[in-house]
Order: sequence, then C-alpha cells, then structure tokens
Amino acid sequence: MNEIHFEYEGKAARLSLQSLKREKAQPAIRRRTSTGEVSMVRVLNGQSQSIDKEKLTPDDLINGDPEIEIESGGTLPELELFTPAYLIPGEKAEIAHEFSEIEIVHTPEGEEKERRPRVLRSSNINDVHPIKFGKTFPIEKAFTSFVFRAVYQLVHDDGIGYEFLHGVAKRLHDKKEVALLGAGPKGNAPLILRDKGSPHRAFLYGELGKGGESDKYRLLLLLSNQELKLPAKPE
Amino acid sequence: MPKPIVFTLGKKDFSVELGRKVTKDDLYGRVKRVVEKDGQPLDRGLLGPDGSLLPRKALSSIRLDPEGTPVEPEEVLHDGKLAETRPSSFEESAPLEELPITALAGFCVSDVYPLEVCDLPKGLYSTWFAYRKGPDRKEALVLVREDGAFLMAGHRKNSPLVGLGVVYDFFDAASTEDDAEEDDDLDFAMM
Repeated sequence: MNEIHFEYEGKAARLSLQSLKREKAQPAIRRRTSTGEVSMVRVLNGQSQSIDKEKLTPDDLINGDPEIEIESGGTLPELELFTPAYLIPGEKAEIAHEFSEIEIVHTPEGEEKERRPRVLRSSNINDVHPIKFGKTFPIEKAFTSFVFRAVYQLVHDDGIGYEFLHGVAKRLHDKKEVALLGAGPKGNAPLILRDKGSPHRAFLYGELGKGGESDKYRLLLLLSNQELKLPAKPE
Repeated sequence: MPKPIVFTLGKKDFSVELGRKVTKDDLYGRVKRVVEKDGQPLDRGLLGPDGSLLPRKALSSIRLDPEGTPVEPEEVLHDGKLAETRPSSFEESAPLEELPITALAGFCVSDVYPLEVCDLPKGLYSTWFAYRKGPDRKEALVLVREDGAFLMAGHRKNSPLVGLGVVYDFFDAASTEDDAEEDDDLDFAMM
C-alpha cells in the first residue's frame, strides 16, 4: 500500500492508494515429465568468452572448435556464492572497479539522440507538493486514446477522507469525465509511484454505486505510458 | 506481416488481420542503459568466491528433469491439474462479447496489436488471445474506433466499490507485482 498526497479544489489530504488483486488469479504452473518435475537451471553454456568471435575465420571453424569450451559446457556453477560485477571485456576479462551508468536515448527509428548520466527518479506521489487534479477529458476520449498499463484504487481511511473522495468520484461520475493528475510544484509532471520507478501519466476515474449503493464509490488511478495509435510511417 | 485472425460476434464471423505489436519504443523511442568505463561499455558478470570471473554471457538457462534434458514432451500443470494445450488465436476463432467503454478502467494492458481490415461495429469487446498454442490464454479487449481497431491483451483487476467502512480483504496488501514498472523510462510528451 502507498500513500498519496492529493489535492482537489484547494483541499489536500494524504490518502491510501491500494494495489488490486487480479480478477482471475494466476495458476501455480509446474511442468513435469514421466521422470519428475522440470525446473529451470542456469548452466555454463560452453561458449568461449576469451576469443573475439568476429576475428574467427572460416578455416578456424573448419579445423577446430575455438568457440567452444567443451570441458565447462553443461556444468552447474554454485551461483549463490557469486557476486554481481561489471567486467572489462577482452581476451582476459578484468573486474571494473570504477564505472559510470549512462542512458542512451534512441529515436523510434533507432538513431542515437542523446547520451546522459543515468537519472534515478524518486517517488513523487507523497511529496510536499500534492498530486493535483488537472484537466478533465470525456471518458470515451481518454479511454480510446491511451493504453492503461496499471490500475490502483484510492481509498479513504476515515470519515473525512470518505466525504472528500466520494465528492471527487461523484463529480467525475456525473460529468462522465476522467481527470489528468499531475505531480510537482506546477502539478503537470508525470507520476512516479516508487523510487527508481518509471514516470507515467495518470488519470483518475470515478464511479458511484447504483441504486441503494450510491453511497459507495470507486476511484481508480489509471497509469499510461503510451497513446493508442500507430507509429508514424517511415518517409 | 499481418496474420489472419477470426472473431465471432453473435453468429457472425469477422475475419481481421493482426498487425505487428505496437510498443512504446515504436512510438517514442527507447532508452538503453549501459555501464561504461572510459567510454568502453562493460559486460555484466559474476565474481566467484575464489576470485574467478564469469561473464553473464557464459550462462544459459535450460530446462532439466531429474534425468537431465527432457526427451519427451513436458506436461503442464495448473494448480496441480493437467492443463491441456489449446490452439492459438490464429487457429481458432474467438468469441466477442460487447462491453461498455468503462470496462477499460480495470484492465491492465500488456500488449497492443493493431487490427487491419476490421469490419466489426464500433465499440469495445472482450475476448481471449494467444499468440502461440499452449495452455495459457490471455484476457483481451478489442477496441474498434472510427479510425481503426486495436487488440489489447492483458489482465483485469478487481476493484470494489467502497462505502464508509472499507473491507481491506479486497486489496492486494502483499502485492509484489508491479505492472507499472518497466526498465525503460523515456518520458514522452503525449499531451
């Protein structure tokens, strides 16, 4: 469960943001043959890591097997005793003690556009600046224009929170709209739910119960990172 | 290349073409993370207890049964019960059921495919999708707009209506799943 600092019509509150269960639970999957359970295991693949494969000639491959280390292939290393490391590639790999993490931004066509130091983002949903209720869109327009990757539910913790969120849900329900939410001082930045997480555009969908359940509400935070459209055709 | 797929709505079959999956990278580009030293990209690897170094590329994942590499077809069990292999979406027509557009609210999309040559009436439909034959079929929605149609595969989340007293059993307090997290975090200007 997360907490979200949310502002609507000048009132801000810290509220509960709940993860939701799948409607159909995922089954526990096992595989077996007549001899017993099948499991995934990591083994040494026996490919030589000490040669530059691009420098091999056809004769090298015809006259020998320089790309194969037959003795190690298929052996099971005790990986729990190993520690992750970055290695300087070469005929004899060396451990790198100093390194920098870089992000390379590519265009949709695959061309390199930018190189920058890795950006480590922090969660911004429970920040000093509340998540703001922004521009609203008709439900059909928003739902047919964006791909929603994840959904969370806003829930109250007390009676004041209930009235606050029920009011938000009622407004969205009555107007058949969804609201774009924004983070940061200006309330226009994408939301980041977890530290080191990815930014997502967030929409708030509100619904009230029908008939005797009109005192109940459903407020969903819908996260999107993609428009529902086709890529531009290459010129 | 588009692949033919058949949907059944009522008693009528609709033959459409499933286009290539559309990802965020196709629309906005992608961010690749590399680790460098003096401009040279580094390899991921492992440091052994004896000081030996093992490049990550030297490892492969394989399936083993107690006698080694399986020589017979594997049986798949779902919750302890034998799961039957079912045809893919290209081998069996999938029924469509019309839904209100608000049904998109609880659906988490993992894959998006454009549907070409689609004569289905405008609207939202629920169905199933399986790119390959096997025991697993994904829940899917077909959205038909005036300017085109898309198939979205994924899964639905259960979201309860809440009253003054919240029943917390409905929520996934122990969730380790994070649909929203991906490696790539390219920001995009989609507004």
